[in-house]
Amino acid sequence: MKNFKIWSFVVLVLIAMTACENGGGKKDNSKIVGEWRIESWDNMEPSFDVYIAFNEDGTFDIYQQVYSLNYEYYGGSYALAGDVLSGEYADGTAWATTYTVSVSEDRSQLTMTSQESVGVTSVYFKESIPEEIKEEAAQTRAQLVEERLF
Amino acid sequence: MNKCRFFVVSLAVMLLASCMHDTVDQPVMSSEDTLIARKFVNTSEAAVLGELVIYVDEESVALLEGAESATRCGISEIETIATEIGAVAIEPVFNMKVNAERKRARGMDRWYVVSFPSDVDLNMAAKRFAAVESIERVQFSTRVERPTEQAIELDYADVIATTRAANMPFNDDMLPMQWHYINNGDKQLFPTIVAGEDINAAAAWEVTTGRPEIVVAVVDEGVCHTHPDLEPNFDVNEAELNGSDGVDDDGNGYVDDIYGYNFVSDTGRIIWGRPHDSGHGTHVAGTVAAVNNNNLGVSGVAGGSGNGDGVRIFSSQIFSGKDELGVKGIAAAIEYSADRGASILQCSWGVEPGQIANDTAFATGSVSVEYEALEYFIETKNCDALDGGLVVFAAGNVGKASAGYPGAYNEYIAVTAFAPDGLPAYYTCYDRGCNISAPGGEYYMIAPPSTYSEKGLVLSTLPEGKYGYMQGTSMACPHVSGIAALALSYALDLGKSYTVDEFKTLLLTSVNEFDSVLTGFKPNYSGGNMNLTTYKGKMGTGKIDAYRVLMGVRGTVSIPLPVGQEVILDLNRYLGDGQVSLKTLSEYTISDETREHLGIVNDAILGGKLILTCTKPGAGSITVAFVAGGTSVGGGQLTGGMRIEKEFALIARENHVANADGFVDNAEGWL
Repeated sequence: MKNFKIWSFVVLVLIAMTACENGGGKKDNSKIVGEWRIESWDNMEPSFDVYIAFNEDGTFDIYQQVYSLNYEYYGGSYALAGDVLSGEYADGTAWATTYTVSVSEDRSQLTMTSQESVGVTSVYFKESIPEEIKEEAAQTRAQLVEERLF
Repeated sequence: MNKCRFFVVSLAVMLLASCMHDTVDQPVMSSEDTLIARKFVNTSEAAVLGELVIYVDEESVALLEGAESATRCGISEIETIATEIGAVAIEPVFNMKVNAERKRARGMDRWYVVSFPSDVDLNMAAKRFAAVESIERVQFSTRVERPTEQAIELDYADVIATTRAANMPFNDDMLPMQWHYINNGDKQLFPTIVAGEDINAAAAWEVTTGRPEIVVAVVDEGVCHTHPDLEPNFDVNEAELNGSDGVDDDGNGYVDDIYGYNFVSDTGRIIWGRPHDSGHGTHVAGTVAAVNNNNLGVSGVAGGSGNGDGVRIFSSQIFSGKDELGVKGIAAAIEYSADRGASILQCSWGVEPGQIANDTAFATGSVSVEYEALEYFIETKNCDALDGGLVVFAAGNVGKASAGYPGAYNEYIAVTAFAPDGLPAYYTCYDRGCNISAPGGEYYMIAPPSTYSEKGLVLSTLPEGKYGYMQGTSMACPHVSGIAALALSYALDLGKSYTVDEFKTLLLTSVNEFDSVLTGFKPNYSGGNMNLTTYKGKMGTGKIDAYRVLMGVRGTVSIPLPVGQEVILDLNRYLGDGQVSLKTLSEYTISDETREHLGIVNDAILGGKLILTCTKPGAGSITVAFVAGGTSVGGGQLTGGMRIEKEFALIARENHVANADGFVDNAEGWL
């Protein structure tokens, strides 16, 4: 009886652990933590530029030069459940989509595939975000605020 | 300010060549006369006496290259005429000591100039030469009219007064007076000044201030290379500087060309202080590359940071005192500029609008020798960031609805001028052939009407270490040349390179709109009022913005698109400040790869708008043609705008939703 209880406990723990990993319940952000720069999007070399910092505390910072000539900043929080990455911006808006992610063995490359009707794959490589880009994005934000005040 | 200083700005309207294909006094012509007449590139109006430019057939080149003189050149018909008119020389126009193979391939070795006594009847001589079978073209060497306007020297007391209130990026004490770079709306300078009506230099200088690998040829009066605010940015020919006087030390065909070459005197001695010199060349050069942050005088658009890193300039001198230069000298100066290493040809001169009727008259059929030289410049690569050369001209200062040639030609950039109030300068040419606008300055009239203020003009360097004011599209032009030099500098920083066409597109689309202020009237300082609506859509694509140009070098704006929703887009929204004056043509290309990536099922350009439906998220691009300047592309019997092609990046996402204007409002964060 005692052995049965012990074995039952062990089985329950294993089931619970498995359930967490398969069902997306367990959050382990560590494998994507770091600063990344876009290398390709939709299997093409991008004409735009994106840096993403996935921080240990579950927040992210994006510095992008996509829809404007200046770098712009966006921040918020993210969660990685298994290989599914989701997140929302600081204003509560959810990301455009969730992503299936994988990291290369040497942890130098991050691949994210959007969970849209047709998955679009983006590849990032590890690169520190230059301070001047952070400063420029901060200025852009300041300008936006100023423009809105007018 | 004395009214005598208030002039109709004619300095930049310098007669170059009247490239008409008219015949020479031929009321009734036989077929032979017609054949001869077709050989004439232009008329004898305003031609230099005692010389003609001829273009010979290929077989004659070898004979002429070994010619001892015009009378002993190996071509009997030419020898006969030369003897009869007393011709003293027959010499090649172009210098075959440099890039000879490429020049031969272009036929540049076939241009010769024949010199003879000035009392010989020019039309008679031209007809005689045109009748020679081996001569295919005859061009009169039309005079280039020298600048007549004098600059106004700066009153240093004004500098001190203005500087006190200024906070500028460089320590040059006159920079606060250069509203054309940074316009803070200082009404001490111009009572009706409008803040922001400048080239946005302050923001651009945070990105780059120039690089010495970029060289600009100033084709103008001699540039004062001893001016302390220019000398450090001069391109110095070290081989000649350290060589022997009177010797072509570097073997480039030009003796002692240390700081450039004087094509008027045909010597290496650049001069600027003769009676009737205006300071025009030195003023223009200062706008391009006066040394920045040297605690001295003015700033230049691409003058560096004060650490010897400005772009470089040299002088291709085509004006000097009262002396007049024909087209042979102009063509040689342009060729020299290419061979010496310039990537930008700064030309604040041209013929008066109307003298050359249209693009055909300038550049089709029996093309002129200066057109040949300009095309050679454009195809000569002198820096890693550009696969050829950029040609920039002033539009002209007679207030006509057309630029003057060569600038009006649809391949060259012609620059119009705006005043400190952001309105067209009273003198500027506009409309046909005009491509972009930049600050050119304008006098302000202070009551009574006989008194004027010069502080609304462009402030720059003057010979002998001086500074002063000038106005004109001549002054607007070097702003564009300087910004182009900045852009190439930044492209080098980033390891980017452009074709000449791509680079022109970058410049002409990196502008702020002009049209919103073009309503009502403005006093015309030569009398009456200017009806501003006349200029609407006719000042080029807009006002050039140096910072936008540099940001355009760094990257492009991607157009967000929805998936499964048709959009009808005005592409101008994605150019410049979103309100530029560009006419969208119906020509566009979408690659098969883009069609596949985005699942494009519907595409067209109708009424100037792009219609597009994507069915898949993804990335791609579309290349669309526009008219830059006016509503019609120049060419043929038309003086018009420049045809440019712009590539747009496309990004389709499933969460994108377009509004009625086709604009996706919710394209923000990348994820």
